[in-house]
Amino acid sequence: MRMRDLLTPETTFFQVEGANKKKLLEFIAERLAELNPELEVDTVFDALLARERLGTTALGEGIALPHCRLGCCTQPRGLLLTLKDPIEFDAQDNQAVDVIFMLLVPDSDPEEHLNTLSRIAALFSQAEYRDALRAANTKDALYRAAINSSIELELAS
Amino acid sequence: MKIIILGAGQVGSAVAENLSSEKNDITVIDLDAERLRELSDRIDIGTIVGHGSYPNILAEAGAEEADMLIAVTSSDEVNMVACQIAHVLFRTPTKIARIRSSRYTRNDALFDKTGIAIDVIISPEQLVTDYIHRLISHPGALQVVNFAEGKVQLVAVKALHGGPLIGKRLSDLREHIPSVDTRVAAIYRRSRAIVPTGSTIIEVDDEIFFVAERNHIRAVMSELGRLESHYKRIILAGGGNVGYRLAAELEQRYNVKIIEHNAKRTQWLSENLDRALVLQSSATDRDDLLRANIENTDVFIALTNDDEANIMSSLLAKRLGARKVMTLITNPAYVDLVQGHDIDIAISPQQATIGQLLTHVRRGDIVSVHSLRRGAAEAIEAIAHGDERSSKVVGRTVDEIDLPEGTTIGAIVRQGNVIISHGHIEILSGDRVILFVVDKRHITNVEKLFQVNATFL
Repeated sequence: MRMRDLLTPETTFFQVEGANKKKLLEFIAERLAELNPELEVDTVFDALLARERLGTTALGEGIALPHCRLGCCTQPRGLLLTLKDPIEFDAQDNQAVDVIFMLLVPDSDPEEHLNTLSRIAALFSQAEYRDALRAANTKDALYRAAINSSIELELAS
Repeated sequence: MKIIILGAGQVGSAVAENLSSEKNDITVIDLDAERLRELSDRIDIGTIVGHGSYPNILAEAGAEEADMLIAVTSSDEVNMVACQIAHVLFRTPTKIARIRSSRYTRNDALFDKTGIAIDVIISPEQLVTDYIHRLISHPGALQVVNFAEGKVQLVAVKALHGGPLIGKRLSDLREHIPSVDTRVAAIYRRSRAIVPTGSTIIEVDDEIFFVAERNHIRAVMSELGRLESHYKRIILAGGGNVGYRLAAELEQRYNVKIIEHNAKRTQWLSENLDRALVLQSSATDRDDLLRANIENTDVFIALTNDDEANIMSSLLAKRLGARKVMTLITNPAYVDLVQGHDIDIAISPQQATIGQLLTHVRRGDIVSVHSLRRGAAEAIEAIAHGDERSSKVVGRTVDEIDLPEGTTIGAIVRQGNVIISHGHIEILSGDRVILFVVDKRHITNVEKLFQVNATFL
């Protein structure tokens, strides 16, 4: 699985404004439902919230990876966004979050999806990758930085 | 967490006070500006004057961002409508409403997935009724709380002169009652918590919190305190909601008398109760109490909505020979004044309610929270998730878990079976773990312990 298989320009959002954790998960659920007719806002929102309740998906260093499994989801989907103002995400390092990558996966193949998620976490743990995302100054640049990183290609091989 | 509280009455104020002391952003809505001002003078909260179920008022209170709505106005209808509106307009994740009338609550279909959008219904009266009922089932207990649907109980008792274990080490408990497994979670000596170990010597007046299976509680109590005979004769003073519910629950097994001064209510009670004896009289009147045969009463429980009347009637009942007296007291300042002297147990309705709300404020997969010792301590039931990699508790033995200071694991419930906690027991995913936290300041660390890491899927 490569980043370009998960992410499209349509699921990349640049400098999203005015949010807290709840509003952000709502925003993600709404965008996903718009783009994928098989998904409903409430189902996605509830599943993301339920996962956050078990423990935060903030990785530290201003990154969060909200994610969940859904029966009605047919293939893994990613959504990337950067925030205009960082938000509180209960991170272990207490740092507010400004870069968010959401992963939605089907109910099947838990091992494979867990593997995908770990790879994404490893990718975002690289300072170089984070810097490239934060350096992007347009939505297009953000998308390109996300899929073009040489680190990402390494990880995917 | 951003929390909106509707109603600055007794429950609303107590909840706001309790939750604002933690890292929460709280806004209270009430129609009474004066009441809000008093509250915001005392604690750090935002306030909005207005009708709590109106969409614009909720929006003004920040409902867009709110994680939780707690609707505790005195009107069941306002509480229900506010939750429904918060759901439809703001997709508020957790909606909690107080509903008093059983005419609503007995109808489950009303609140199912397609019904009125309330996640948790609280009924302080029912909570208090259950609380007292548990105390009556365990004579001599100062407090009894349930875990895992009542399979496990946490009980507080006072060590008394003549108790078999006084002056002995805690580890001797095992030799005294080898067939019963229990775990002492905390001991309060002269109001200060000491961390119990096997070599701790039990002293007279120690307040001991222990965890055991429900059917073992009596055996453990007989070792720590003095075995008290089961209660038989009970007098309830006050035939309001709690008095009536309690009488109805107890009348088949106990000899129950209920004292109510209002003639109409007395009439209603005698029509709706089966075996309990309903007396129209005053619980603060000496002669009335004597006529109710107070000197041969095992427990006298004062349940009117007047703190002062409850305290006076309890003192009088004790003086006239009631074996135990329990008193409903809403003013927390009074609890300190009277508990443990002539009044055996002071019951705070707010304290009972707070625990249920905290269950939903705490992070992690929390099943229940009980606020103890006036909010200073907490008992928590949490579900462990994940594996050795994603969890800080799963795959570790009780000894290996990095528990915060003053925190004890009392028991584990695995697939419905109770396992009393011992150092060598390994926690598995799906286990319900029952913990006692002596100092609420360590709660955040307990929450962190039970949270899975960021990549748990």
